Amino acid sequence: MIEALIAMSQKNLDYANRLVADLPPEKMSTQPPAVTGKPMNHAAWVLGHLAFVADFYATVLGGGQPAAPKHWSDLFGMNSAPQPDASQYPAKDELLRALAAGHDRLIAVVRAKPADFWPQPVADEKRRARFATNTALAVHMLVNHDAIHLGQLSAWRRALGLPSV
Amino acid sequence: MSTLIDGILLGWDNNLAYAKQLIADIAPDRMTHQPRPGMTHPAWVLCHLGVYHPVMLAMLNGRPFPDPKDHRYGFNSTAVDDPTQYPPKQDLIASFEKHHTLIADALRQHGDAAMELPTTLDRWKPKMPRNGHVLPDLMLVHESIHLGQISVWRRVQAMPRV
Repeated sequence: MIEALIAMSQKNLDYANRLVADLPPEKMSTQPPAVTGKPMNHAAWVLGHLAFVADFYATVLGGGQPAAPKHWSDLFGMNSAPQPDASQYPAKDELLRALAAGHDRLIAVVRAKPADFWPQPVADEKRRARFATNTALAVHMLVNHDAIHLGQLSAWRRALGLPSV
Repeated sequence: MSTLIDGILLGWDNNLAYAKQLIADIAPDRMTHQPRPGMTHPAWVLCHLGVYHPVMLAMLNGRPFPDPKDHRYGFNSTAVDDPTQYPPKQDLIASFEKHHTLIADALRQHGDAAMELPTTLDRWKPKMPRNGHVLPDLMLVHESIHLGQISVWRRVQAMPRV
């Protein structure tokens, strides 16, 4: 089961790279013109958020201390919002490296778990309210969460008039 | 039923719940609105995802299916701000929900065997040689990506987060 989810996670990582491949560094936090309402999740925020969350979940699953810089919690955590100021964000290359590293770290931790870990209830009570079992958490961590944000990134590209990937 | 199918069903059910939340408060006459040219809208997303539902059912029941890429809402289609080109909102969500249930039932009933069958669509074979490669991808990754597009569509119009 877990190898199938990891394969989908790898596909997400590949898609993330393809979604930003043609973006010059200065476009990574652009907001589309004449968009009313709240800012869109731009490329810098999406990549950083996915990198931060992968690293976070690796820690949650017992993979040791977080590897992401501490201030990334404010910049990319669950309650963060995309900012228009590009200087606030790490460079594109750094974000992609962090995303790859976060993925690698999470996958290593996931692979180290015994098979009987996954059907068990999630240990953390607050998290268990949303994900009853470790299997449900794995599906979210490795597949659905990233894919939803990558869909946001694909929509951001379209709003900027960029070709679909 | 394998733990993989168990996991897929959890994500699949989450996708249905999320899709319903995403469109619950969208007025029917706004379903094809494009805040920016070229953006996909909720009507197109649900139609596009709906193209793959009969494909999944066919795979789970060991039946052939036409290439979904060629469908009017398939991979090669473009979202347009024209309500006459899409079914009404209530029909879209009813079909989405109905097919989610049918597919979940078929997966529970036939999933273990169906996953082992070879992929029948030629262009999928090189990277996804078995149904077990295609189905999780369609049910989880593909659906989630497009639901993420609706979340952005909502956000740029200052609609509440779900």
